[in-house]
Amino acid sequence: MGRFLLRRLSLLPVQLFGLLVLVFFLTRLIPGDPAYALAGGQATAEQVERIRQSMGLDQPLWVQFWHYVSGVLQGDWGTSIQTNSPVVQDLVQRAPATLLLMFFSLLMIILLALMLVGWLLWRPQGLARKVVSGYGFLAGVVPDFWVGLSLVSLLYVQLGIGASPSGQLDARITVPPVTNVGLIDAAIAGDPPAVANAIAHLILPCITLIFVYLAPVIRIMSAVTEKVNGSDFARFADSWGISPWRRVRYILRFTSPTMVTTLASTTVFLVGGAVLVETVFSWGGVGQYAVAAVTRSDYVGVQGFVLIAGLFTAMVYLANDLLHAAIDPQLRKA
Amino acid sequence: MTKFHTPMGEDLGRDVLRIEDLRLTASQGARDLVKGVSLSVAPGRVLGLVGESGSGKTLTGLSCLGMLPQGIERTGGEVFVAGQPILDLAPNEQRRLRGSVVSMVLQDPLSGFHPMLTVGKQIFHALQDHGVGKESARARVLEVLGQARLPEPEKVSNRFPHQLSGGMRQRAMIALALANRPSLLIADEPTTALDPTVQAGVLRLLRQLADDGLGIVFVTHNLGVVAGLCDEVSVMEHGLIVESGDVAPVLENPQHPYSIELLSASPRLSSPHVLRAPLNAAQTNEPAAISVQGASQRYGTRGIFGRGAVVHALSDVSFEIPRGSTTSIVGESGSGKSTLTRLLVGLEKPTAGRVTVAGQDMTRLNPASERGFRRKVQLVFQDASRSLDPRNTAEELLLEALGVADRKASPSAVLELCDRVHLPRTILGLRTTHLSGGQRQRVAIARALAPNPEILVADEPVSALDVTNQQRIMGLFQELVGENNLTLIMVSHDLALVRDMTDTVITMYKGRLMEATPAEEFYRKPRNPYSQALLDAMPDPTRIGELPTATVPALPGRVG
Amino acid sequence: MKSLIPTTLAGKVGVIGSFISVVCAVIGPWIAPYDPEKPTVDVLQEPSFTHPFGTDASGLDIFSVVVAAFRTDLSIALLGVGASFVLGLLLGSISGFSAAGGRIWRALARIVDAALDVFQSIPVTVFALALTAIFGRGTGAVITAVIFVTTPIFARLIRSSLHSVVQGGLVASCRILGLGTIRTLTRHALPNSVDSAVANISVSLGVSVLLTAALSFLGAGVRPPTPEWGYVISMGANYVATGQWWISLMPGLVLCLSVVSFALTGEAVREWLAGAGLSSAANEEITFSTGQTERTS
Repeated sequence: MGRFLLRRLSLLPVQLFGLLVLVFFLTRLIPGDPAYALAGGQATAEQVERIRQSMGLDQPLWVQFWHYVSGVLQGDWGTSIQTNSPVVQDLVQRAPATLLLMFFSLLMIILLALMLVGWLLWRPQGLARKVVSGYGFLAGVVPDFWVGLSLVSLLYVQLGIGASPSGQLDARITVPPVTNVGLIDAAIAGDPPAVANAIAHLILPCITLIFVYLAPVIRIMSAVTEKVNGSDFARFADSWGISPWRRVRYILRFTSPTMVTTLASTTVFLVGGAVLVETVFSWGGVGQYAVAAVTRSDYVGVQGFVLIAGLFTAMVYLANDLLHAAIDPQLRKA
Repeated sequence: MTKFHTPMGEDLGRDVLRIEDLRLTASQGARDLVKGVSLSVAPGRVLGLVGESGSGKTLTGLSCLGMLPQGIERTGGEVFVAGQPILDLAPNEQRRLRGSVVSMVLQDPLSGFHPMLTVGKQIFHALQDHGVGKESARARVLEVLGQARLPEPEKVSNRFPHQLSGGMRQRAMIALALANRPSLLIADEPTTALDPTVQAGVLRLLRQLADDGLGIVFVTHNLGVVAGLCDEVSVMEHGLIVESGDVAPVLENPQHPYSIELLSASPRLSSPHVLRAPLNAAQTNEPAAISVQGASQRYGTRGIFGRGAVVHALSDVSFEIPRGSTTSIVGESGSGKSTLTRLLVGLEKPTAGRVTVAGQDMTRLNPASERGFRRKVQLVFQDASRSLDPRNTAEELLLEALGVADRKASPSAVLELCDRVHLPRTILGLRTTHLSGGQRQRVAIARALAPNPEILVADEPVSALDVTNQQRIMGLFQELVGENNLTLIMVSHDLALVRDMTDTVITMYKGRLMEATPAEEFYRKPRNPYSQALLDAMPDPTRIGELPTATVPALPGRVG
Repeated sequence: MKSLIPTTLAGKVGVIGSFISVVCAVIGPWIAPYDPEKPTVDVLQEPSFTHPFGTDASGLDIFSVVVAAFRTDLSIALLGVGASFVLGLLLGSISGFSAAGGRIWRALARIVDAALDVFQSIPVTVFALALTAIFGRGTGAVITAVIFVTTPIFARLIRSSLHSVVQGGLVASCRILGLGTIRTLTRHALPNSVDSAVANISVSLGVSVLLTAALSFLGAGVRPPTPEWGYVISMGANYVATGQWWISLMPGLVLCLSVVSFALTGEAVREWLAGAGLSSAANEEITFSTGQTERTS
C-alpha cells in the first residue's frame, strides 16, 4: 500500500502544474490587451499602465508564468476588481458557506443512495424497482436552477416549507459573523431562533441539490447492481446458501468501487450545482462570487475561482483513488 | 436406449441425487432445453455428465441446486436431493439445503469468489449463515482448507482470491463448497481452465472426496477426464440422455451413435494410429524454414525507485524447423509459447538472440520488408470471434485478405478459398457472428491462406471449440499441409490433440525450451522429465479408472 | 430495411418530442402568436387562453419566447455537439490507438492524454463560466464552451472503446494480414468503437441545452434579447417568491421535455441499430449464468 500511495501522490504535482498552466492561459486568451482587461472597464490610462508594470505584462510569457506561479504559491492570487480586496481573502470568506451546502447535500445523497439501492436489492421486483427507474430517469434532464425555483414556488409559496430565497438567514436577523456561515454563527452566538431560521433557509437549496444530483447516482448504481445480481459471483454465493441480508451486503461491497467513483464525480458536479443554486437562493458563497466576477469581467476573480475549483477537484480525485485502494485489494498489489 | 444402474422405484433414501424425467423450458421462445432427463447418484459415487455445448448438462446441474437461471422454468419432472424435492421447496428452505446438503463449484473461481474478501472470511461466512458459532467456524475453516489439500491452510485463509494460483483457487472453492458437509457436489467443468498438471491434482482430490463418501456430479465435455475419475457416465445430446451406465461398458463399447462419435473425436495418447516417421535426410538439407538461436524476451517494468517486476517470458530458446514439416509447441500457461508465437510472426521483437523466419531476420523487420514477410507467414488465432471484424461478412473478409496480399480479389478467388477449407458457399453473405464456432475458425483459416503462405502458425486454434469440431479442424490442417507443402507450427497445451499430425514436439516450461524431439520418439519416451510429467497428466478416454498423475518435477535440466 | 417506427412507447414519445423541437427551431419565430421580442401591454398576466404561458413584467408573451428559443438552444446544441463529436473522434483515435502506432503517434497520444486530464480537473460549469468570461458572452462563446466541455467525453469514449478493440486481437489480426495502421484504424477499429460515442450524442445534446440555459440564467450566456429558456427563467426568478410562478416554471418545463425527447430518441435509435444488426455490441454470444458461453456448432 505504501508504494501505491507514493506513486499516486507523485502524480499530484504534475496535475497541479497542469492546472496552473490552464488557469494562467485562460486569462492570456482574452482577446485584446490583457492589461486593459485585468484593470477593468473603468480604469484610467495610468491605472492600466500600472497594472501592466506590476503584472509584468510586457515580459516574455514564461516569465509572466513564473511570476504568476510564485505568486500563487505565496498566497497572492491577485486583487479582485469588484471587491477591491485580495482574491484569496474573498474566497476564504465565502468558502465555508458553499462547503456547508455541499456537505449536507452530499451526506444526504450518500445515505439516500445506500437506502434506495439496498431496498432495490432486498426486493428486486417490487415498488423499489419502479421508484428507482422512474427517479433515475430524471438524471441529466432537470436543470438545477429551475428545480430550485420550482421548489420555492411549490414548497415555500404554496406550502410554507423552508424560507424565502434570500440568503442564509432572514434579512432582519443578524448574528456576529465568525465563519460567515449562518448556521454555525447562529449556533456560536447561542441564538436558537436564529439557528432555526438558518436551518429553514438551508432546506430548499439542499433539497434542490439532492433532488438533482442523486438521480444520476441512483441510475448508475441500480444498473451496476442489477448486472452484478445476475453474475457468477452472486450465483456462487447463492449456491452455498448465503443469507439474504448478507447477500445484499456482499453485492454492495462488490459494487463499492463504482459507488466511490460515482460519488467523486457527484462531488465535482456539486461544485457546478452550487454556483447555480447559490445564485437562486442568494446564498453568499463562492459560487455567487464567481458569477459576479464573470458578469463584471473581474478576470482576476475568475482566475482565482477556477483555481480553487481545480484544487478542490484534484483533492476529490485523490481521495477517490485512495479509497479505491483501501477497498479493493487487487489494486494494492501494484 | 437408456440404461440405469439402479432400477426405478428404489427407496429414495439411499441416493443423494435422483432426477426423474426433468423437463426445462426457456420461457421466451418456448424452447425445450432439457427434454426428460433421469439419473441418480449414490453416496461415494462420481457421475460424469457429458455433452457438448447446448446439450443441457449445465442446466441439469443447476437444477440440482434449485437455481434455474432467469427465463428458464421447470415444466415437468422432479429433482430429489437427499430425498427432498428441491425445485418444489420455498426459497428459504432451498437456501437451507444449499451448502449443507448440495453444493457447487464453477469453472472460474476468480469470478465466483468475492474479490474483496479473503478466502477464509468467505468460508467463515458460509459457516455462519448455516448457524455455526464463531469458534467452531474458525476451526472448521482451517480444517476444510486442509481437506482440500492446500498447503499452509492458515496462510491461504488470509489470502485474497486473486493472490492464489489457479489450482489453489479451485481447491479453495472446493473447500468452501464442502464447509457445511454436503452429501452432493455439483462440479461444473471445474478443471477445464486449468493446466493439465494442475488439473490432475484437482481430479485426484475429487476422487479422494468421493472415496470418503461424497456424491459428485461432474459436468464436462472431456471423456478423458470421465474415464479417469468417474464411476458412472450419462451422455447428453440436445437435452436428452442418449446413453448412460457404468464407465467401463459405456466407454469401451458405446451403443448410441452420438456417444460413438464423441468417443472417436476425443484425443488420446494411446491411439493405434501410426505416428509420423522422422523426416528423411533429403528434406533436411534445405535451409530451415525457421531458425531460432538463443532468443530471449524480457518484459520489464521499472518502478519509481528503480525496483520493478521483470518478467522473463523466454530464456535462451533455440531450435530449427525444416520446410514442409509440422511442429507442435506444447506447454502450460506461463511456458512462453504465446510469446514465442508473437516473435515468430513479427508482432514483437526479441530482446536478445536471433530469430529468422522464411529468410527474414526478425530483429530487422521494418515496414518495407514487412509487406513481403506477411505474404509468406500467416497466423491463425485462438479465438476467431475476437480477431475477425464482426461487422464484415465472410465474403468481405476474404476479399480483403486477397486484396492485401496483392492477389486478384475476385469472387471466384473467394469461392476457391471457401472450397479449400470446406466451407459451404452459402455462408459467404453472413456476418461472422452468425456463424458457428467451427465455421468461424474456417473463415479465419481461409483468410490466412489467402496470400498462399509458406509458413502457417496456429495458436491454439481449436481450444475454443467442441470436441467433434476440434477433430474436424485438426483434420483440415492435416489436409492443407499435405496439399500445399506448408510448414505448420501448432501451438497447444494438449499433447494428445497434436499426436497424430506432428513431426516434432517442442515442450516449453517457464520460458525455457525443454526439448525438441521427433514425435515417434517423444510419445514413446520423451527425453525430458517435464515432458514425461506432461504426458502423464493427459487424460485418456481409454484408460479407465486411471487418474492422470500430478507430479511436476522441480525445474529440470534441458535435454535435446 | 427495418421499420423506422420506434417499438416502445418511450421511443415514440421521444421521436414526437424531438420532431416538435426541430419544427419549432425551424419555423418558431413565425408561428409564435406574438413577437417574442416586443412587449405588450398585458403585464404579469397568469396563463390564460390568450397567453398560454402568461406574460412577464414587461408584457412579453412567455409562450412566444419559449417557442422562439428552440432555435437558439437547438442550433447551439447541434453545432457544438457536432463539432465535439468530430474532434472527440480525432483525439480519441490518437490516444486510443497509440499502441498500434509508432513513436511519434505515441508521443502525440501522451500530449492528448495530458490535455484530457487537465480538462477533467475542473468542474464543467466552472469551466464553461470561465470560458464565457474570456470570450465575452454571446452565442459564439456558448458554442465554444459546449465544445470544450463535450469533446473530452467523446474522446474518452472512443479511447476506451479502441483500447478494448486493440486488446481483443482484432488489430493484431489485421496487422498479421498486412493491413497498414491507418487502414486498420479507419476500416476496422473505429467502426467497431463508435457505438458508445454515437449513443452519447443524444445525451450530449441534452447536456448542451442545459449548459446553454444555465449560462444564460447566470447572465453569462446568450446575449439578450435573443430568446433563450435560461434567460427567461432568470427574468422570472425574482417573481417566484411573490407568486408569479409561470415566468420561470413554464420555460423550464419545456426545456426538460425537449431534453427528455432527445434522450428517448437516442435510446430508440440505439435499439433500432441493434435490431438491424449494425451495432457490434448487439452481437454478443448467449452466456449462461455460470459464465460459460454457449458455443453453437
